[in-house]
Amino acid sequence: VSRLLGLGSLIGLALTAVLGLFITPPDRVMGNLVRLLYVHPAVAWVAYLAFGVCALACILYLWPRTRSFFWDRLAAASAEIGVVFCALTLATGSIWGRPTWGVWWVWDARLTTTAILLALFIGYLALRRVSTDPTVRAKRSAVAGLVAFADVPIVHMSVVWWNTLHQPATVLRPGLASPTVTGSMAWTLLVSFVSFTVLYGWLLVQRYQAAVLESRWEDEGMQLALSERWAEADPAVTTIGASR
Amino acid sequence: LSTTLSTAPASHPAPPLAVRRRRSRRRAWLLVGVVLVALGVLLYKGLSSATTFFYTADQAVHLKASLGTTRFNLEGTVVPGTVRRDGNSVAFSVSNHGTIVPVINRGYPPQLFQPGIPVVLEGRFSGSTFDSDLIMVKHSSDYVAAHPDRVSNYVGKTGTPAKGGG
Repeated sequence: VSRLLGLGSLIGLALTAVLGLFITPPDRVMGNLVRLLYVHPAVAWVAYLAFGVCALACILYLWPRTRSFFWDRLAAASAEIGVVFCALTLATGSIWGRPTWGVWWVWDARLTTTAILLALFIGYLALRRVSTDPTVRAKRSAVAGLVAFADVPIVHMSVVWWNTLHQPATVLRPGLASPTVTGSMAWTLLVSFVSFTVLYGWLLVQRYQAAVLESRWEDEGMQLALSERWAEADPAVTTIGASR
Repeated sequence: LSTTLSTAPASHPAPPLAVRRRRSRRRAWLLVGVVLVALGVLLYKGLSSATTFFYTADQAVHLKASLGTTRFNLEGTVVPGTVRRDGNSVAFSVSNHGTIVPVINRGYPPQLFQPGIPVVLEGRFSGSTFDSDLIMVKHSSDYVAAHPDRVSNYVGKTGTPAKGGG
């Protein structure tokens, strides 16, 4: 499954690059700057998705019937990917903002809440590094993950609720049937969304497997240390036995 | 419960582990609550300035008396036919909901600046004109091909490629 996802995202991203750079026309207003449309929204979507999966896993961990370390590890893996994509969202948005708006950054509601979102989930990851009992950590970080996720709907609705320099949503909005993107631009945007989502799936599988290996390494390291201590004790036991 | 424990003699044994644990847990949650409230206040303070990122041209004219000469962001659409470049500055008018505000901007406008585009301007009122030193282009969420009929233009009505097309 992992190899399939990896291959799929590679093909999808290559297709997005070709479509975005060579096939699609320049925009009426933006000209060639429109080509960031095939990167920035999809990256932002993956950040939403990753944080959403994290929040869902947090709920499933906190729910007594479904409590398992699977959800804890999944939440951690997804949050990590989310942080990377949230940072990429800010970076690509800034790069897009400079030529279109004329500024790298403004403190409008959309940009500010997104920066807060990044800070919240970096905080979540920091909390996970506080060494403690795994069960305590899992429970504590599950609550923190849910609190951090509360910012996602605020980020998304910020362009509707308040006056922002950032334009309203193009894709994730009511009235999807009447698109504000036309022709080949629309389906290239769709291809970019699909391929970045597949990339997220691949990264999640990889990161989860790494987390499993990490915890096994910790466990086996403990076992190894214990057996070494036992081995050290062994000769003493045998000499005592022999002297008798 | 706490008063009876605190007035207990020194020789009295410490409260049982379960009670102590419960109390420390309560204290931890209290701390979390305090942190959350502080975060909430900060967010509210920070966001209240971010949420009023700009006033639209009609709002700004309406609030002109209270705004005075304080700096704020003004939003409006560049009125076609009013743009005049003059050396390092550009003069134009923006409109929103039928209210037109004349603007003088010092400095070069960004590359997407053009008549009919919505802009956010940073500056202050100086008399009835808005004295701005930063133009930010507020583009829409619509993306339309620059020349949607370029193929038909190229092919032409006769079905053969027009000369010099493409």
